[in-house]
Formats: sequence, structure tokens, C-alpha cells
Amino acid sequence: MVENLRCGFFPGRPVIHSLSLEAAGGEIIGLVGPNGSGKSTLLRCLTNWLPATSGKILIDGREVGAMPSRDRARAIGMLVQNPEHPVPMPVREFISLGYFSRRGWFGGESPLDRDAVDRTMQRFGLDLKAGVNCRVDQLSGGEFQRVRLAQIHLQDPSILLLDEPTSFLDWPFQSMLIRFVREKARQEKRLVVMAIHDLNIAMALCDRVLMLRDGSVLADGPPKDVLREDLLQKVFGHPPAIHTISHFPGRFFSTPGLAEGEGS
Amino acid sequence: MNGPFPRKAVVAVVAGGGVLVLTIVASLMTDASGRWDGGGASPQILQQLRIPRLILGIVVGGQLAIAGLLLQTLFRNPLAEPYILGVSSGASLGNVLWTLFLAPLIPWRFGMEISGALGALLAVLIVIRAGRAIGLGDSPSFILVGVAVGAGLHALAALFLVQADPNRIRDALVWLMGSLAYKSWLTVWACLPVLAAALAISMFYSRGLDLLGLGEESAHDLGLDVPRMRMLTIGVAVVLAGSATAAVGVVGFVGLMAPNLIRLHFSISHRWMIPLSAIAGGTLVPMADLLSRYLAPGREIPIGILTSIAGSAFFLIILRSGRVTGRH
Repeated sequence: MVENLRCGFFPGRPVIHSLSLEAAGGEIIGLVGPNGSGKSTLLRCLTNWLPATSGKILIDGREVGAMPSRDRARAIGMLVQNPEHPVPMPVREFISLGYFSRRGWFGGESPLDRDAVDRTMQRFGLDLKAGVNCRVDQLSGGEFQRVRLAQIHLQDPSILLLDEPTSFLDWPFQSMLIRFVREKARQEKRLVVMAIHDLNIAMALCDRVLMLRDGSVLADGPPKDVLREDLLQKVFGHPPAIHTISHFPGRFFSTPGLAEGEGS
Repeated sequence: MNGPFPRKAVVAVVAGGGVLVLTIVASLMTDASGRWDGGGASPQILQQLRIPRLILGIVVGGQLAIAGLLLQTLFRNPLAEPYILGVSSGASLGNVLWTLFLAPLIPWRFGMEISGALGALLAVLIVIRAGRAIGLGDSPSFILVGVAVGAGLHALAALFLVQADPNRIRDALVWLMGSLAYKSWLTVWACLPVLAAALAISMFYSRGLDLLGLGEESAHDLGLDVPRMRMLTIGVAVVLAGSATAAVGVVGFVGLMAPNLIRLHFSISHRWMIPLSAIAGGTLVPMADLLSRYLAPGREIPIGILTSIAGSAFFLIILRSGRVTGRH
């Protein structure tokens, strides 16, 4: 639950203005809005990387800012949009750091942990052998994105924040990501909050869409009600071209698995 | 290839270990003027001069290597080195002030060491204080503040040197460039606990260091208390570099080279990087010391000069390899 949240990078210049929000496990929430509308800032504020200047963020009644770091990481995790360049380390090592909040300072990898890392890597289409020999700084953008998804899968927080998770992914892996998000929400009852530019994905995947403008929520509701032409024009200053399939000239390509129940 | 220890790496470790053993043996069998005595030295010379000199070299090398590794991880820059936070400039200023003004008045044997330690401490306090006052919270800003403060203190030391009586300058100059000559067991005992404590602390927190390598925001998201880890890392690195500098003067580039020598062969977590880098550093310094005895018999080139010459060449080699900078 978020209450009257206000936060930003510089004191006196908040990016997010008195934002309130309540959500439960099992929901997929999309954050939509133009560049600079505060989507990423809101997500960073939720993880307490940017501490809130006023207002409260509560997860199951506990304030995020007051949680010990490892408890917080078990409650809320984030896939940042533009990660810093990591120091060279093997892919596998990188992924298993996702375990930190559960495993602690020392203590090696148990066979069970090792198994979980193996399964996670396979799930995200990562070669186990290459995981040992290959370093994260040698990966392509899409591979690195998958490695980071594998890491957050191991971290397994109750709330997953994904900042533009489809960036760098080609469409087979986009559908893998879509399956991943659905599984997290539907089966594991996690709350997923994702900042997303692709309105098709927001429309098909999210249960609820928050439209942000200048750090405030302009609309909040089911995607059909929020992603309306008039609202989009108001927020983006430009109307989107909306097509139904029958009007689409030539062929229309959509990511497999995007429509719920299809192909998964 | 087999896991994180491919054959190339095993060969590197065996070769490195061999070099260390050879260095140890040669150090014990070479006198201060670079003559090989084939083990003919008296037990007293060995015990009072050569063994403490050798051990001090190993310890100081280990200290500089770990300090370098910690700062390279914290700043996520393989070219960071232990003196980046102004420690060496502070120590130099302390040493210069001692040699020029106090040494003639106070006949104190460990004046150089103590003035160096105080100077290093002063530099770090200024860096932390200035960083806070300016309001820069993140790690990269500490480098900038460290560079600025270091440059200022260095200039001050140079100012005192050029004004001074030329006869007195030599002592200070030799010290500024690092030397293991005439060191006793006392210096060894002063440094060894620092190295042991730093090894224990950094090994214990090695997973936190691995996380810092992901960048501070990712480390935070995965559950690391970043501000605390940052202070711990800087604190340990500064104490290591400060005590090493106070003990033997400024030995440049070892802290830069040692971790990168390991990185050239391995991509491994800090649990392995820390001890291996320490061993690499502990080999480099006695090697430089041995070389200094051979190159200028009886005069002893300060080892800092040798490590810096080797280091500058090495710097270019690692840049060219692209391995540590992540460029391919």
C-alpha cells in the first residue's frame, strides 16, 4: 500500500506528488505514461532506493524504509531499466547472487540451491555450461536481460517491479517474459508492477493500468478503461493509431502468448 | 573447460606460486648490496635483517593488493588503486614535515612511520569531511574528492621539499618512493595484525563485495545495505593502505596490478579474489625489493620506482587486453 507518496532526486523538487495506491498479490499492474512521467522514479521509490520525502509505503503493514535490507529484498525486488555495467563475473555467479537475501553472508551453495540455479537458467534459455565459462560483460543486451530475469526469479520477492522488462528481448523471449509474469501473478500470487511503453502488452497482460503524468496518477483502472484514445491523447499529446486486426493492412504480427490462454 | 578453474588458470597459480617461492629463497640468499651469498649469511643477519625485510614485503604487498581490490570493486573500475583516496599524499606530507622540521629536534626512531600514519589519517578525514560537506553521497564522488584532496596535499609536500635544505631532502625522497631497507620486526608486527584483520573482514563480507560489483542500485535491490557496505569497504581499504604507506612509504601500482594479474586469468568471486590478490601483491613487493638490490648494488633503488615502472607498462597491457575494462 502506498499512501500520499512524495519523492524525487533533489529536495524541494519532487518527481512523484502525493501518490496513493493499494494493490494485492496476484495482480499485474502496468504503469503507462510518457518519458519523464515518473514511472521509474516511482518504482525506485518503492524499493527505497530513493527514500520517500513524505508519505508511506507499507508491505503487509511494514514500512519499507524501516525494514532490514534483506527482509526488504525478500518482500520487494526490481528489474531496473538501465543497470550499471557489472564487473566481469561468470553468468552463473551473477544469477546466484539473487539468493543473497535468503542465504546471507557466508554459507556456500547447497545442492538444492545449485539445482534451483540450474533449473532457473534452463527456464530462461541459458546454457548451463556457458554460464560457468561466460562472463556477464560478454553478453548481448537480450542475453543480459534474461540473466537478470533469472536472478530476480531466484530472489523471488513477493512484489516484483519490472522497469521496461521487454526492452532488448526478441519476440520469442518477449513471450517467455509474458508467461513468466503471468505465472508469477496467477500461480504464485505475486504482485507484479511493470513500467511499460508497449501499449499492446499493457492491454493484454495487465489487470490494471495506472496512467502517470508529471508524477501523479491521471487514471487507474482496467486497461480497457484507461488506454482510451482521449486519455492517451491528453497524456501523450498525440493520438495513437488504433487498429483492429481487420483494418490492418497486410499482415499483423503479435507476440505469441500475449492473449491470455493462448499458447501457454 | 572445467568450471571457474580452467587449465590456464591452474598453470597461472602454479607459476605464481613458483615465483613466490623463488623470490623468498633468493631474498634470503642475497645481501643488502645485491650479492648472492648462497645461504652463507649468519643466522643473526637472517633473523634480524633479511627475514623481517622479506616478511614485511609480503605483508605490505598483501595489504596494498586487498586495498586495491576493495576500491576497484567499490568503484567498479579496475584501474582504481589504494592511493586514490589521498592516503599516499597525506602520508607523504606527514613524512616530509617530519624529516624537515621535527626529525632534527626529536631523535625518535619511528618518527617516519608515525608521521606517515598521521598524514594518511588526516587525508582520509579531509576526504570524508569534504565529501559530506559537498553533499556527495555515492561512491564515484569519493574518487573525485580523493583526487582533489590528494593533489592539494601532494602540492603542499612538494612546496616544503623545494624550500628545504637539499641535504635533508634525500631521506624524505627515498621514503616517498618506498623502501624495505632497515626495517625491523617491530614494523612487521605493526602491519601483520592489520593484514590479518582486513583479510578476515573482507572474506566474511565477500558476498557483499560480489553484490557491490553489480552496481549500487542492483546491490540494494538484492538486499545489501549499501551505505554500510560502502563505509566498511572504504574503511578497510584506507586502514590497509595507510598502514602500508606508514610502514614502507609509497609503493605505487602494486594495489592496481595484483588484483588485475588475477583477473587476467580468472573470473571469480571475491572469496577467491581476495586471497589470490593478496598472494600476488605479496609476491610483487619482495620481487621489486630483490630487483632493487641487484640493479644498484649498495645503493638500493627505492622499490616504489621499480613497481611504478613495471606498473605503468602493465597498465597499458591490461588496457590493451580489454579484459578488465569489459571492452572486446
